[in-house]
Amino acid sequence: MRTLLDALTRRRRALLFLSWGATLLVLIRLGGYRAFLRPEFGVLLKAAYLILLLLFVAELSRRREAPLHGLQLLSPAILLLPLLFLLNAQGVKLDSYAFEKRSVGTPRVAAQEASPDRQVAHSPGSDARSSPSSTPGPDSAGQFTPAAAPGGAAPDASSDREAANAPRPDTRNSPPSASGPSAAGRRAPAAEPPKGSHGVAVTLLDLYRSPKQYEGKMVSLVGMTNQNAKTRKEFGPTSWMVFRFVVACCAADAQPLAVVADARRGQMEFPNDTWVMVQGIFEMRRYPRGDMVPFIDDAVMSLTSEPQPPFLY
Amino acid sequence: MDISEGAAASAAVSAVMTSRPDRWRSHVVEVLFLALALGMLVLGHRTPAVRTFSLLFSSIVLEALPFMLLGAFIGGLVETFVSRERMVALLPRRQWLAVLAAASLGMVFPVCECAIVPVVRRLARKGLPLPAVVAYLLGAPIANPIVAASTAVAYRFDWLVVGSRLLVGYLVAVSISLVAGRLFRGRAVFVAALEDRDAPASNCGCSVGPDREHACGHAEHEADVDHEARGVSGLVARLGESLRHAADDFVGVGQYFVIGAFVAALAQTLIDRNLFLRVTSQPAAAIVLMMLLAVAINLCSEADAFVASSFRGLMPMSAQMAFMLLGPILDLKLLLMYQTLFRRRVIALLASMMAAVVLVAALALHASGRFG
Repeated sequence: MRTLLDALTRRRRALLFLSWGATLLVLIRLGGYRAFLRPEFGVLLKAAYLILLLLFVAELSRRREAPLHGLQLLSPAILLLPLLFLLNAQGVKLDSYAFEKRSVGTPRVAAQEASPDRQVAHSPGSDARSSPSSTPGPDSAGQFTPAAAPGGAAPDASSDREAANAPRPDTRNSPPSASGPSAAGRRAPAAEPPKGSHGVAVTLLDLYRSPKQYEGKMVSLVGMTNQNAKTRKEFGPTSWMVFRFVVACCAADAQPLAVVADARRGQMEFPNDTWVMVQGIFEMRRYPRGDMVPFIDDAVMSLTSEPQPPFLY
Repeated sequence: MDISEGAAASAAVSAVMTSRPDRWRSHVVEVLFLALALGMLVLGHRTPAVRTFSLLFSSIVLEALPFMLLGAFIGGLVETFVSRERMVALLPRRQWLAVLAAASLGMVFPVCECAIVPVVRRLARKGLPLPAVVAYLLGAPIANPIVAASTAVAYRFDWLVVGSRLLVGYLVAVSISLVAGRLFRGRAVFVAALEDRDAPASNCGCSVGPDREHACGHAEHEADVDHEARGVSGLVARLGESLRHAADDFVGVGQYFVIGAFVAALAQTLIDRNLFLRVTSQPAAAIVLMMLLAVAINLCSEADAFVASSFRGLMPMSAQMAFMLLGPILDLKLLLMYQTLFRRRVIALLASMMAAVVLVAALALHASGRFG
């Protein structure tokens, strides 16, 4: 036993490379790395795996290291530590905890991309939010932009300006369930979602990249639920944040994207961090500070399975 | 700067004199770190904070691992295949020209901040002058095409932002390098293991960090003989040697990286970004705050533009720019990794210069009126 331990400690660096190499192999073969990194990083992990193999072979060809004693155990232990956390991270997803820490202010989309005609009073449940505004908020064009839209294309500036000047968004392409362009005209909630109209399947990233394209339309999207005292106060007791994280490289740079699902029919009760499909009419509401907040009006939420991978890219 | 024989000798002496207390201090830090990490895992592995932390820490390590390995691999190749004479011959003779060239090397040889430290260690060992070392170290993680592309995407192809980031980042690197060249002329700046390149044991280049034992066996010295060997067997022997150097570098820099990534993941998990919104009315305060945030949570210069852009509309553009200028050259994990390259006193001075120059640059951008 002692001889085996001695032999192992004399090859501690080879074992270090082997452990990391084996971990990467499992993550690559089973696709588990996608819980941490965007899919394209698979190639880089394969390169890392190859280098680790080479290092392992090179270490074997080196003279054996001195036997370990005492504090020399620390250095390999530190280098192996991430493997323990990797195990603890199995099945973990970014949820409301990360959402609340990482959200910067209210969810908002580019003001220059949205029609600026809907002023919302800053009190939940107020009728003001459903009536067209006669006093548009401060012109913040160019100031309020998607919280993050990695991979997004450049917006068409000219069409954005046209949209900003238009009195109402164009709703010609809206499905029949969108009963009219006026938000006030849509206030009577139906008991059931409109039959045969589940809306355009979109992601939160689609809505943030081109809100104008979807404004006034019936959409359906998948996200996680979040409701807390702050959201209840700000948007009303029947409103939910429906969020998903968008990742540039790895989960650590994940930025939350969210819409407010205005589920006034009240039949939905979900615990936080439930994956739901939300159907409803997408609209932009201007809040007093000038933020254009993305809403799913008249929302119907239903349970759904977790998308794989859970992130947007 | 050319490091004199005397400086190298005094560095070796001081390394011998200070190695024992330094090693003990380092061991205390390592023990505390491991105790904290294992304690967190054992006591709180089911709590939302530790679960989120595990995900973020693993992500940071997995994202950086390929780059660190590639950096160590390239560093090993440099060590074995590029002779000191050849490298010096490639460099412009005038110092300022060498600095300008080194700071722009990232445009043709893009390296992110995780990969650059092992590469620069090897270049420094080869005798690359200090100003050029600093210029490449600080310039490459910002002034490179991958960073330009990611910044363009994050800022929706606002070329003013992209151009300013690359240009100002380049100028920051150049100015700090030139000052460092004057400030540290003739003084020991690199850690003993790097400066001690004339000592017999260093012929194989197996420096593994300031506080690490020399792990190289005699096999490397025998392999040195093979440097002269020609043909396939000589090439294989030299490749093997580069790999052993790469292994040394990976292990030497790796543990600093793990500790740095751990602290960054803690900050990523615990910091509530809404708290940063309360000072936006004061541009200078916003800039300083975003600089602090960059040091605390920055991950990779190729992804940080997306984090910075999440503050659009909430922080002045100049503050977002300060985040994108400082993060790639000064963050927690880099501060730790720099310890495998520079002495602590030098790191403190360089870090202060980085913070000061970025602050001035961001304030100047704000004053220009286009980054409000």
